Amino acid sequence: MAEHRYLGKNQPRLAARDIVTGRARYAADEKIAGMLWAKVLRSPYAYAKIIDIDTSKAEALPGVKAIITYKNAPHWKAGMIIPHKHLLSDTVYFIGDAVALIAAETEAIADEARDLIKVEYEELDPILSIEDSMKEDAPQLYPEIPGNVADYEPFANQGMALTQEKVGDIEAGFAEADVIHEVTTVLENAQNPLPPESPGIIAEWNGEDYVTVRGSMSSNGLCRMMNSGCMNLPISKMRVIASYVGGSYGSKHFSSNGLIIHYAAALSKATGKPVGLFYDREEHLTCQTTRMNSIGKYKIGMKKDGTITAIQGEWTGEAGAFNGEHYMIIAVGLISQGVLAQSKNVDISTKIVLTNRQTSGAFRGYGYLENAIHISNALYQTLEKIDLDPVEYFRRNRLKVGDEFYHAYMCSGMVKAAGPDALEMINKGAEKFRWDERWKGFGVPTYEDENVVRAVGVGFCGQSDVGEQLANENVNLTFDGGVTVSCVATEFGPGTRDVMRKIAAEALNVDLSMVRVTDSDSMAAPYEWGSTGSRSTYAMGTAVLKACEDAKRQLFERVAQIFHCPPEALETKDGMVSIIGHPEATVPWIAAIGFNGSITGVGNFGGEYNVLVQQVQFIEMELDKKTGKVTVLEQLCSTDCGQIVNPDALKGQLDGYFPGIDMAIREGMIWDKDGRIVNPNMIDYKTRTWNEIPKHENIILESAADGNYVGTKPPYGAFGAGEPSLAPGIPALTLAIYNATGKWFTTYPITPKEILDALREKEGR
Amino acid sequence: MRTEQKEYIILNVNGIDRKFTVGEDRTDVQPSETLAETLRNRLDLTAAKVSCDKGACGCCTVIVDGEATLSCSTLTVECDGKHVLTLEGLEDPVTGELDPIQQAFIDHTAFQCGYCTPGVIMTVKALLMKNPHPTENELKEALAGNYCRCGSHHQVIETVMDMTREEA
Ligand code: FES
Ligand code: FES
Repeated sequence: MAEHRYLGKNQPRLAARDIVTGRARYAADEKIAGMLWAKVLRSPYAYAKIIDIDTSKAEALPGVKAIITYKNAPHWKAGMIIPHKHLLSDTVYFIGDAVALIAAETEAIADEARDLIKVEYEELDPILSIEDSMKEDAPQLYPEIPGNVADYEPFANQGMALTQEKVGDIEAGFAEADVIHEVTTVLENAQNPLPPESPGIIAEWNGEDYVTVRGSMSSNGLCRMMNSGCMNLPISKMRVIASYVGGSYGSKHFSSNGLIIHYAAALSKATGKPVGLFYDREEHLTCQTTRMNSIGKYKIGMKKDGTITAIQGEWTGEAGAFNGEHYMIIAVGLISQGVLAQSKNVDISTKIVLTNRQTSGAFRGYGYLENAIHISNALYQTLEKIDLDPVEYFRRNRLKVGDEFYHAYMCSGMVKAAGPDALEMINKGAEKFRWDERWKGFGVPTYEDENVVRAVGVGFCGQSDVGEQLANENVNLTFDGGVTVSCVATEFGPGTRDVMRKIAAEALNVDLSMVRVTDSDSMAAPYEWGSTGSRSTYAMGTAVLKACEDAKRQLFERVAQIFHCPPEALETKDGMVSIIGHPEATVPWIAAIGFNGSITGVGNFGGEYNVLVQQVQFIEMELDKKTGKVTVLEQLCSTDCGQIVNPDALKGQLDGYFPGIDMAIREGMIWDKDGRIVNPNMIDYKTRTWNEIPKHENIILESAADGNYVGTKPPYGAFGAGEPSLAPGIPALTLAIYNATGKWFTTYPITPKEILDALREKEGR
Repeated sequence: MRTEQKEYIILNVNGIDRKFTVGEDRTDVQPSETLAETLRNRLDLTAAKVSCDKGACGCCTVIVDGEATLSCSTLTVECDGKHVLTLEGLEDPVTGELDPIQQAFIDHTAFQCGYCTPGVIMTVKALLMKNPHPTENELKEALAGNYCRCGSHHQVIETVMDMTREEA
């Protein structure tokens, strides 16, 4: 195992002191001279036409600087693939849709002006469910999207079958099966990512149609790519400067619903002043994005040994009020088939529909969480029929190195798994959790008395996008021995900026304190997506490593001329270069770089889609037989990250598992019959509190360090492990609840009342 | 021009007396103004965050006369004559020395995005001021009102329990 100077060892996070002292400035802490405050007047109806809108009283209010309605709004459109959602229009598409934008000198004036705008609506019949969206007589929400079903032909034409998977002969596969079973799962939680910080944006439009956007944006380049076009600007005319981001979990990529940016920018354009728009918690919970709802019908054919002879699926996702990146959510989600249920015969078709509800979007587990639930529910019920322990199933059916699996997103074809092999994480996890001892068979609790019943469950998931997309980073060596990494990585929680810093310190063998990472400012670093899809460590880290190697090559070429030796004979440490084995032949960097000089190394990476980040979770829970309440007693995450970079930061990423289990039993938006969210606050939207945190453990393996890693090598073998921490929790808890109650649940969240009913039914049997 | 004698309040914030007039003018502290607004907007003490604005997340926690207090749900006028301690006040302004809780959070990376952290640290501080060696359950109980989405709970609990044990 390679010894590293920094990797795998704890150092304080770059942001640590700022965070614990309160110096870290998040969007709403930023101060810009001359900034106006924005507010948005929002629709009280799920679907309506604006008959009349009167802004005269609001405009007359002293301190009001601009009011924009559909009558004077710029002709900007959001939505993909064909843009269809106007910045403002005479039609509103969900409760909370924007009707008017206000900019004023103070927040209070903006608030008051909003209340002075009079709007007359004509209510229309809204679409409030996936099923209703596809009905023949359903209203047609956008002319660009006939039948309310998103069209992905433009991508198919580019050879990307993003939303479909067809391999082998499905009928022949089912004919070979010993058992065939079909399950439909409905995910309608619309779980909110619920970062503690609501989105906040400050936009500054200057006269030459160039916009600078500051605030809570977690993925710099992705945000520019997805939003500049919506404002009729080329990417190069949108500058993004990210503040500290108070949690994102995908929701602040603004990868499809970047309306907050467009609103602030439109008001800045109208007023010629910087404009700050900070959502309050209710706006955040009703107007930003939720997890995508979906219905998944999966049919599995299985042999007695657990081999899946065929898997057929229909998976329909809900975009909500307009369609954005959902095709990517679906495309990434299809990977769950390969990870959970590999088979030679596959036929999965998917659809994305529009409704008059809040839009959905990116949220940790991006599609593969949703599809892992759909597939696991079908899988576990099928396994029960052949009475095969699911852990044993995962051991047998895991993707082994070299196995082919379908990768819809980016590749649209079969990809060979590069590893790591999940066997060890499954075995180590099972051993630590004492699974073999605690698993009593399907439908059998581990313990029961007159008050409680306990049971265990397991869940598994994975994806292979950790190396996704092009990465570009620069590294600058200064004559004093300092290193600047130009990189748009954002400070949003996982410590990705620290990863870049440590990779550079490791590669250039310098003291960590000499390495700095530029702010996440698109003017300070080369264009690239930034932190999204768990790609930071692998994709960005590879580009940083290559940039360091490029810089080192230049440095050594210069020193080689001083010592008249080949560059390969040189090594560097702490700003000095020596001939290997000859410490007497040592010069400082300045000797090669020159006073006042610097060397810039350039690193690029083209993207890889064959390295798997996978996680298995084990859970024991207890049901209160009188109340139906589920208490998670014990939870264990087991994963493999290739090589640990920041041990404590990585641990934190796995410790954040609980929104997964809570999607199964607690969290969700609740709508009334008119399409209004009735729990858009943190009292009624229930999350886990500190005194409900279960006993928890992580197993983090390092396959790269052990040398059994095959395939394209990520930087030092490190590819991260954080994102999948939510996904396995839902199937694990579904299984445990089945073992305790004898009922397979297929809708979420599973409520105490439903559990009590199931227990009664079981007792009656 | 008429000069009027305005009502005023004095808050001691991080050891410094701050005087505010009370009234309806923009420069006055309005009777409806929350402590969070005063700290963030008038004193530029932005460590305390307003997240839920409903008393349900603890991100805005500061210490008022020794008690952990939700500044989003406390009126500034109610704090007249009181001592307010914010996260900024834990750092020694001269030496830069940190409170042991802050140092322990750095040393053990007991945070992720850090947005909940000011509230978490102030809640822990208020607890330790009264109870320097809490049990794990007492700690969890004290933090029950602090929302953290990243999942820093385990690391915070380990860090604080280690720290208070070491001191024992
Ligand atoms: S902002 Fe004060 S408790 Fe949430
Ligand atoms: S550290 Fe991000 S919410 Fe607690």
